[in-house]
Amino acid sequence: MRRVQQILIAVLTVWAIAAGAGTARAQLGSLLSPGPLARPHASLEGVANCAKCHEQGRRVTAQKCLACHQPIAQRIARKVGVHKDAGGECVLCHAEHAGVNGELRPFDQKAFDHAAVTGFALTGKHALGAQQCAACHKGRSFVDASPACAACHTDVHKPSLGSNCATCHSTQAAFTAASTAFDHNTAAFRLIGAHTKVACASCHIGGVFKGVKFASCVNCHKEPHQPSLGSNCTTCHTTDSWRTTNVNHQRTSFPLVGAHTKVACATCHKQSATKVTLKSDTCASCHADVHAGQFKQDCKACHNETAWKGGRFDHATTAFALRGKHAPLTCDACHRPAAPTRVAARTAAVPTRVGASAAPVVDFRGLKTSCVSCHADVHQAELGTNCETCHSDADFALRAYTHKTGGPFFAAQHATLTCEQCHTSLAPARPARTGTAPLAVRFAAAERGCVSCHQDIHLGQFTARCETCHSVETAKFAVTIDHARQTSFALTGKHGAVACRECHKVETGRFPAATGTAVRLKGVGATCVSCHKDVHLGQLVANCESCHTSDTFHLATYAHKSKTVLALMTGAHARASCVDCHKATTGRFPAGTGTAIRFTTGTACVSCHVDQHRGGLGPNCGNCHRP
Amino acid sequence: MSAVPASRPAPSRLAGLVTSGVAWGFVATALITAWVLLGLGGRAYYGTDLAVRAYAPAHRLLRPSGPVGQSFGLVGTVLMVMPFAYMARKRLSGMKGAGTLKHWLELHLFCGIVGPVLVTFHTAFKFNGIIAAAYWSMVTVMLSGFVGRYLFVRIPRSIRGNELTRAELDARAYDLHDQLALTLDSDRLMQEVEAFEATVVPADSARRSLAGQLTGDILFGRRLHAFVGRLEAEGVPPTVRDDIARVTRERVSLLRARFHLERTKELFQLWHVFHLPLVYLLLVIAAAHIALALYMGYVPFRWS
Repeated sequence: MRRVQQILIAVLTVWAIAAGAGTARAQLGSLLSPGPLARPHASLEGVANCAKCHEQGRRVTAQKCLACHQPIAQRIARKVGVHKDAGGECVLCHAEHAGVNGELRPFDQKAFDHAAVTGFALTGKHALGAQQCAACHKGRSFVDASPACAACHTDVHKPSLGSNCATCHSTQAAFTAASTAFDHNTAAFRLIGAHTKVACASCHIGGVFKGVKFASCVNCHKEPHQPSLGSNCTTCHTTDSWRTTNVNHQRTSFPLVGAHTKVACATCHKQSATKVTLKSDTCASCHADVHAGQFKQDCKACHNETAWKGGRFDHATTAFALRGKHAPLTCDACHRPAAPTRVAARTAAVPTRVGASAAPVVDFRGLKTSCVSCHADVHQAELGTNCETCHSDADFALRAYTHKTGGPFFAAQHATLTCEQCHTSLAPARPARTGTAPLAVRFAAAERGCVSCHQDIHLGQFTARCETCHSVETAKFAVTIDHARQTSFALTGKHGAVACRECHKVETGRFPAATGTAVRLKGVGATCVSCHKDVHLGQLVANCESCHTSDTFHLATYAHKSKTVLALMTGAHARASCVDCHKATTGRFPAGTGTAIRFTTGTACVSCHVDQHRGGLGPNCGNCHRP
Repeated sequence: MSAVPASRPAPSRLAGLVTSGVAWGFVATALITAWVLLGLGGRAYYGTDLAVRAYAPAHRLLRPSGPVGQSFGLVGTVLMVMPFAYMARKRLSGMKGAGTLKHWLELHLFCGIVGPVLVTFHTAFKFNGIIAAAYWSMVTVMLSGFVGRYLFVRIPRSIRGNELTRAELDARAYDLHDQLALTLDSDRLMQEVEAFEATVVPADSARRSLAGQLTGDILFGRRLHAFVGRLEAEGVPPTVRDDIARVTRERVSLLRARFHLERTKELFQLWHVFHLPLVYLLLVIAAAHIALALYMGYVPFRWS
């Protein structure tokens, strides 16, 4: 067991050394060290260097530290900076062996009073860097930084402006805003107007502040005018702004008059610094030629400088003088935007200003003098192209028109007709512009028959011309007809006094031309029953004329022709009237049931007489009685 | 009753704690830790990054060379040396009259717990160089001390601290059995106790293993508690239950110790081999550490 214990002790010893060495990088110094040194002291690692800081029996003395940190020693001696009050050992404030990242110079950056400790107050823009020491203290040592501006900032003026940067710059503003500190009025060139807003570098190019020429504007400003207008810029410009209104345009080749006096400079001078010389002799220099070269830029012919619109143009100088109704019309009433193809050829030949309106070009040249150039031919070429035959530019309406042909036709009842009563249309009878619907009026090609205007109220019962019966001479085209000559039924007797309508009834039914309602004039029939009613209900088959005449329906005399009847017409029978035997009877007749005088009576006595004997003596009354 | 030397009497729990070096060790550890962490600002100090910890407010006090830190180192070192007094008491005949071995052991345990705690605060939780080896050796020794105590208490001893022989151990077990049988005066209860013992004490023919010993020891308390619960359910009076619990606890401990006795003794001997060399190692390195500190000028009670 003792042997085992010895082996274990040996193993543990080796393990302990190995573990410790492994932890402390297998160096004796590390084995003894309470921890790695901070990175700045890394070169002092190792057992051979312990004595460089540690002193036997005295721990770590300030003398040892300051032997290396000489600048600090000097500042302590001078009692300046952070260490001005330092008196004890350095290790009281600076701890080591806290690892390679160990902090050696601990201090609260936020609470650090830079002004009190260093004598360099962080004001203005510097205050922004107060929390970021490294912004100025680039190196590891804080004491390397100097209060001189050039210690941190690059002197871009070197060496022209000396070392006193505060003459122009302050910590209150950015370096580029040096004007906040520098009073340019102390310089030979005082800044007034727009110059006060210009950045320094705009004139002091390349950081050159001394010797900058300023006698003439062109020392700094470029001459934009080509050709040059001279070096005396103040003639037109002031220091307030380049865009000046101080130009006396009357001195130029284009004095401003009329509407031009109210136009802002930039309206014509679109490009800055008048880089482009305006051609004052042509309107097209500024104005877009909306006519696409139709007038070859002779703008003054129609326009003047008072205003573009309202310019006077004498239309009489053209082939079409404006008279009558045409006189008050505005130009665009006739001159409308033309089809692109129509002006394409002309616009191609005439240059227009850049940026001209894309509006359609009004066609002034292409309009013809014929009426149909503007007006629609409501007659659809029916009457030719010579509108002046009927119309005048004073008024489109026709005051009077005399038909040159068809004299008798326009007499009597036709004489008072208005045009529209025959020449009717479904559309408004007004002149219409091209593009509107033509009127449905027929003139030359109008039907000449009566039916072109009048309606055939007979519905085709007559094929003969209307003039056969009617005449314009008669009021309402009334007709006088010779019934005996012109028809197959002479109006004799009482027929002569009968009104036409008694026989020619108004019927609704089929007629030759159509089914409708009309007076039946043809096909009435010549028989009596065509008009008269058969009061005998078909008892008589003979013609009416056998008993009746057209003078009267009454029978003056009648002689029975039957021998049987004639044999009875003796005695009292010979004196009896017709109605004594032929009585009105209601009953069935050949033509139907009704009431009529019955003609067919029996020859037996009881047919007319009452049998007083009630049949007791038999039917043969002649045995006892005589007529 | 035979004149069998009594094993360590089973003291009451409270009495046991009063004389327990481990208990006092834990109490002292808790108090020291609370004082350092809460009273001296150690909680914030030890939580500060090592790179800037030297500038924390508590650094002046708690740094290894500071008033508190160095004092902890000094006292801790003394406490780490104190356990050797126990060795001396055990081995030097001249010290045999100087108190009981048990009390020296309890002092040994107390110092073995508190010493490392103080040294830990002395390090300020910064472990570098070979002294770190000493520290971890110390921690290992302390932890192994708990193992040693576990083995130690499982070797039955007389009231004077002498190990009992197997015969004495058996006699004591029988005595306890008889004592319980007389107290209970109930065959049924006695049979229940014996049945319980059979479940927690392995049979002589059973296989011996360290794992079985550990789990059996851990589970014994719970099983005994469950057994007493069953007795309560059966209506056994509280005084009788307490007698059964007390006697059974001691008897089962004896029987379990008897069952594992040979292995326990072997392990305990081996433990000595491991425990002691680590102590030597840490003392050697600590001595070097102290010597170097003194050489550099970090003498006690001279804090700058």
